[in-house]
Amino acid sequence: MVLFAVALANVLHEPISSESVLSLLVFLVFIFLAEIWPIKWAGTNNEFTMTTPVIISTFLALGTNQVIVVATLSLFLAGLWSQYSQSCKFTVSLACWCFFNTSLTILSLWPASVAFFACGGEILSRGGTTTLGLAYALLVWSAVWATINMLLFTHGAALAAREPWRVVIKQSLTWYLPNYLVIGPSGILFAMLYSQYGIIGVLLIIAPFIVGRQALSQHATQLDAYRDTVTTLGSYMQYYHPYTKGHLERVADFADAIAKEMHLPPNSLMYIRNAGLLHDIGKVGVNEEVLDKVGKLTPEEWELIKQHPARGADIIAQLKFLDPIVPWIRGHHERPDGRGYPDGLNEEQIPLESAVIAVADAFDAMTGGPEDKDRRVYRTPLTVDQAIDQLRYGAGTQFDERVLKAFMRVMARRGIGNG
Amino acid sequence: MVNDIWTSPLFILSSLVTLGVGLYSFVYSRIQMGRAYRRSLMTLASAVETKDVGSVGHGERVARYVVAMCKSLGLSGREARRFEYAAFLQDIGNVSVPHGILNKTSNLTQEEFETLKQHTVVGAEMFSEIKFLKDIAPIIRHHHESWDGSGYPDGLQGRDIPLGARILAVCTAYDSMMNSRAYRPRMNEDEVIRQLRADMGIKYDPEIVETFLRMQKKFR
Repeated sequence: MVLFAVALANVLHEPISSESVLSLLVFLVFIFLAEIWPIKWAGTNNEFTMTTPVIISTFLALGTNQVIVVATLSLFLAGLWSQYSQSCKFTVSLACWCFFNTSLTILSLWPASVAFFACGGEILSRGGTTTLGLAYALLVWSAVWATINMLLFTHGAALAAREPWRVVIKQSLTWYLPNYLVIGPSGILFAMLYSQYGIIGVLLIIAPFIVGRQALSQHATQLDAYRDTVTTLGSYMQYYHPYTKGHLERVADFADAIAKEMHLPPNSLMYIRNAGLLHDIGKVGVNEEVLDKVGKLTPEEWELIKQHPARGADIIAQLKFLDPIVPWIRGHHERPDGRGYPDGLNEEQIPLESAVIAVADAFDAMTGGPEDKDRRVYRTPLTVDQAIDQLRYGAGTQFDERVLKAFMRVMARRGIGNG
Repeated sequence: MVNDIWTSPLFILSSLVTLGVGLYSFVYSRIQMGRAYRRSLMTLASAVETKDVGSVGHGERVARYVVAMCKSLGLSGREARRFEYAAFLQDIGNVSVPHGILNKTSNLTQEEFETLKQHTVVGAEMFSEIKFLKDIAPIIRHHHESWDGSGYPDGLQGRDIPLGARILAVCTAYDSMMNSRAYRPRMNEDEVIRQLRADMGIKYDPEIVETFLRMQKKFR
């Protein structure tokens, strides 16, 4: 906050012309828009914003004090905006929280600028030219900015998600680093346009960027919609029995909760619900007299049942939007001791996601859900504690121990069973 | 100086690149993903077809006839796509019909026939809950209605039956008679045509049958 005040004072101290006020305003709007319109990358769970390149260009075009003032104000407004659009009300504490968030930005902007000048960088509007030296200084600027930002941000994120630091940092590195490298240079582009053509140059370049952003987002939304539609239809197709509907949804829920508890990678988290809903799709088209048989199965019938994970994987392999879950579906009846089917994989070979689905599936099949109609004809349901005992009994042989531990933690948190 | 911007290589290049990325992803999502989506739905439908030994490939062939019919009836592309989706997804409701009934070689009992009839209702219910497939639900529900009102599940008559369902009924009947079923062998083409003509105005919309027979030679 002190920094913000100092920067504001410095900005006001400089001679004010209508041109400079206009450019401050334009960059303010620019950062605001970049922040509230994240770009979704189709087929992943990640969003990115153009905020970084726009802040770089603001800095290059206007200078340290100006970028601090502009960035703080616009990020603060953007924070308020997104909070408001979520909850539709303003409170003082909310504003304070937003301000705290944005003040983190300044903490990283200022040292970054200092480092930039220390490396011989020069602001474009003050005679700086685009040379290798500038690129080098910019690299230092981005490195300092990104590092501090990431440390502050990941600390916040780790606090919010109750996840260990290590995991969050690893996730940010694999996602944000390539991102910075790809979209960072466009910041230099904006700044060059500004220094050559003034504010008009920046305004004109915004239009194609908005079109591009719109198209990318449309692409991502479309992909999500397609994937959801295919998943929903696939799950409905398994409803040949009234109990299946509730079962699939509960398996998806449990699998989702366990996967989050285990900190599986973001893409696994994105698809785990789909996998939970579709895990038994290989049973579609199989004679239901075999599936529901109360007595002992003949060897041929057992063979037929044992094919369902592979059949399901074959079906899903042809569904373009669900590629990652194919091995998960195929492996959901494998056992760590190697006695599962269809491939008899051992503990290291079984995808972790398959193991997650196996536990969720087994638990829900044993307890049979909260309502009578959800219960299976051929089996008396167990109580939650009995089911947990059964799972424990199979730890390391039938079920993956890491998954079971996470499952117990989820159950304890939900207050189900005696944990 | 500002006027220079239009000819500035920097500006032109960056605009073109961003617009290019946008255009590419837009076209890609429309065409490529649309195709993948269609293929995915077809895969799901064919997973159900394996249940009824005689019907493998049925949905896909019928979908082809329906598209050709829509073209010759002068329907819009949007409508044609809707009817096409309905064509290959028509029997997904069969998931609710037991294996034994679908593959029975003798006549069905009254009770079994009632269960079989349910596939139209089950299918329509499924689709009515899916946002992007809601609009095909009525076609699925009514694709076993007859022109004279003797069909199921609602006994609709004449033009009360949705157009898509009327087209689908003719195309489905043609394809299923041309192929063998659990309860009867395949019929030859002349017999099929005679049968379709005989049922004009009873089971099928006469105009649709006329159109179908005019272009039927292409389907062989």
